[in-house]
Amino acid sequence: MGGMDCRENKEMRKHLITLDDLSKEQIISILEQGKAFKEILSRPIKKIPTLRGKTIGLLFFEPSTRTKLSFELAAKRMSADIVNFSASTSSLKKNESIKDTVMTLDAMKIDIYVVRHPSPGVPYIIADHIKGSVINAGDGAHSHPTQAILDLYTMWERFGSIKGLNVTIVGDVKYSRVVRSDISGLLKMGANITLCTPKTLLPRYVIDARVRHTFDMKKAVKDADVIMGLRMQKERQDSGIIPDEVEYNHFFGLKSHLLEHASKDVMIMHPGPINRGIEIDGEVADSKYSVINEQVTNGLATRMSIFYHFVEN
Amino acid sequence: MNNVEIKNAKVLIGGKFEKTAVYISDGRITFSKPKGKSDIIDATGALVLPSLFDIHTHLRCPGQEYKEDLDSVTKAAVHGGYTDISSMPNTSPPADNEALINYIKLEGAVFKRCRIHPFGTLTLGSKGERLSRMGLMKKAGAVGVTDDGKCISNGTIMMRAMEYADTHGLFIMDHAEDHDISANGVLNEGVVSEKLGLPGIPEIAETIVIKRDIEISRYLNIPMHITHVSTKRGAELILAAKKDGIKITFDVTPHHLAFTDEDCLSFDTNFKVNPPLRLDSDRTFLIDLIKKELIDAIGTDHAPHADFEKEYPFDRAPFGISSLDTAFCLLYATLTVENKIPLEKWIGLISSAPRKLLGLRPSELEEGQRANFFIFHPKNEWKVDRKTIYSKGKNTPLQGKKIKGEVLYTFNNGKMVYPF
Ligand SMILES: [Zn+2]
Repeated sequence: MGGMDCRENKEMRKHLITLDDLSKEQIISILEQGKAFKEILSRPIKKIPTLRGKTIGLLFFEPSTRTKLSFELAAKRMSADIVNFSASTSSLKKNESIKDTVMTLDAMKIDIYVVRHPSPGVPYIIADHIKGSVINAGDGAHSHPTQAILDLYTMWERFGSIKGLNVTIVGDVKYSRVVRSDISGLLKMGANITLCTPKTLLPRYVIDARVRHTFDMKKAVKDADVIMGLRMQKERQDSGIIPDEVEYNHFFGLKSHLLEHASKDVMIMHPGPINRGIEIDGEVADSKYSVINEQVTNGLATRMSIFYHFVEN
Repeated sequence: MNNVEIKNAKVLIGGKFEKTAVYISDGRITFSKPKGKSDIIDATGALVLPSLFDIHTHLRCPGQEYKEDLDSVTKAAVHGGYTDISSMPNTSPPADNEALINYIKLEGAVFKRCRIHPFGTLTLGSKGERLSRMGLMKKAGAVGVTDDGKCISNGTIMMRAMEYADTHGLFIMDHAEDHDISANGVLNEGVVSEKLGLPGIPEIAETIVIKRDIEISRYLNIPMHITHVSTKRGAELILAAKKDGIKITFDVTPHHLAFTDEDCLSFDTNFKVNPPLRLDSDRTFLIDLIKKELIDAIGTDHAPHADFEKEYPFDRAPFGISSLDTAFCLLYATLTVENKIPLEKWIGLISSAPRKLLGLRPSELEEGQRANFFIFHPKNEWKVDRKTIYSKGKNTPLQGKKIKGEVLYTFNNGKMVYPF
């Protein structure tokens, strides 16, 4: 009576829903191709014809500016046609069936669906009802594989290899799809992971036995090659998960004096948007160690590479 | 009316299978050939079993007939071997007064398939604030009281409700859940919920209330029944309380015996149920208790929903499994086929035990008893699909799967109620 793991047959259908859909070799291939696209992005004429005649549907069931912009620009740079479908929260409330919405869209012969939805698992529902590929742009706290790939890319580009890197992740681990995907990718590539966050923001069940955690920022950043900050949502404070921003910043904020404990050429990352003075001090965000803006460019290059890998020829 | 002769079957009599013919004459069981003509059923390879009693059925009516109505639920019941079901009062409006109890009894009887034994609420509207008219509901035919689906969080109100229910000799059932702890959880809290990024329902949401209920029951010296216990720890607490002489009983569901939270990994909302499917260690512990005959009853928690509701994403779909059609077959596959527990050792948990808990007459295969039984073929295989289950709720994890063991006939008071 055991349940089926629905990933098994999805892999064949070229969907990117979690990082489990990719082998280590496939990840490396995406990173390498990403590098080629990044080079193109630095040229005066940034458009290439790779996706000419292909249609990409951007299905955003919750508001997003940065991720959507990144996907949209990646598609435009590759000469794809773009269909935008942004369901307002009001139509979600009317309980419009996802199946019905998607079947309508599928009649328009879309090649790749980029999906963002507040509920975990929705990309699987969509994948079941369409002929094209699904790329998950974030489903609730479940998964955000393209963010993980851009993060992996940023580390890989700098350090040449991810294996053996000491990566420290600070902040809201429990409710973060970014962390779930980053951990999955980093473990696959052989990094050492340390989490630093109060117990109320740490899953009660360890994600993987190889992941360390500490409540002490000094210990957490010791010898870190990469420190990744995560956005602290205001609602965590309102729902009694942390006392307030002042106390949070005191114990878990990324401050410049902590960096002396880290590796000499430590890299500071953050998926953005940042809350200055809460999870990260302005000084750190603007320091020479910070690659936060570089991550945005890398997001564009890697999303182009993902399109390239997931479009049917 | 002709007599009925069932031949070539094995019949469960007094806890043992005997190869004997069974006759129905005048609505009653007899083992010696009655006078007059008989319609003959050749039941070669099949078993004749006492009809089943479900202590926990969500009727959905009045008010939510789009999920289930009295026609479909009574069909599902007799298809599953049940001639008696106990309805939960969380209808719309909730069954918190004698008029609604009357309605369920009268309307349910129209279809002449199975009996419905309604539960009323403990509190008005199941709001956990004011007491419902428990005395008048009992007079109208309520067999027990519960705020199932919800759980009274205020200890004082729970105690008063119990004292008042006990005044009228009503059976008290509690759905043990601390709603502040389960909060917005949608499946068991554990490795699976972390992996899926879905909010979990911790074990302690159940055990903390079981512990409280044990203390209330002990303090008031009033019996209490905890329904659908899903955790090992919860069951351990109850067993320890029983040893201390506290009058506490409990039931488990077929799905908690058959499935685990890992079944949710595919985001299949047919596995979304409350209390949630737990770990395999919980599941095997509960099965072990059945082996040791330490569980008081098995109730289905039959909770039908419309297709469109179960098509919502996992976090927004309603909780519940449609169970009556398949509960016995699932139990047979899980307990007897998979875990080698002989059928005669556990069938009482869904036939005589719940009747006894509610103070109703047992229904056994004995000479002169009312003919309430069903015929089950353990080897027949059938496919569970939209057409083969009669509940309006097609939300069963078995959907699309083949299952071994089929109910062939169900008799209620001597009348063949299945096939219809
Ligand atoms: Zn319940």
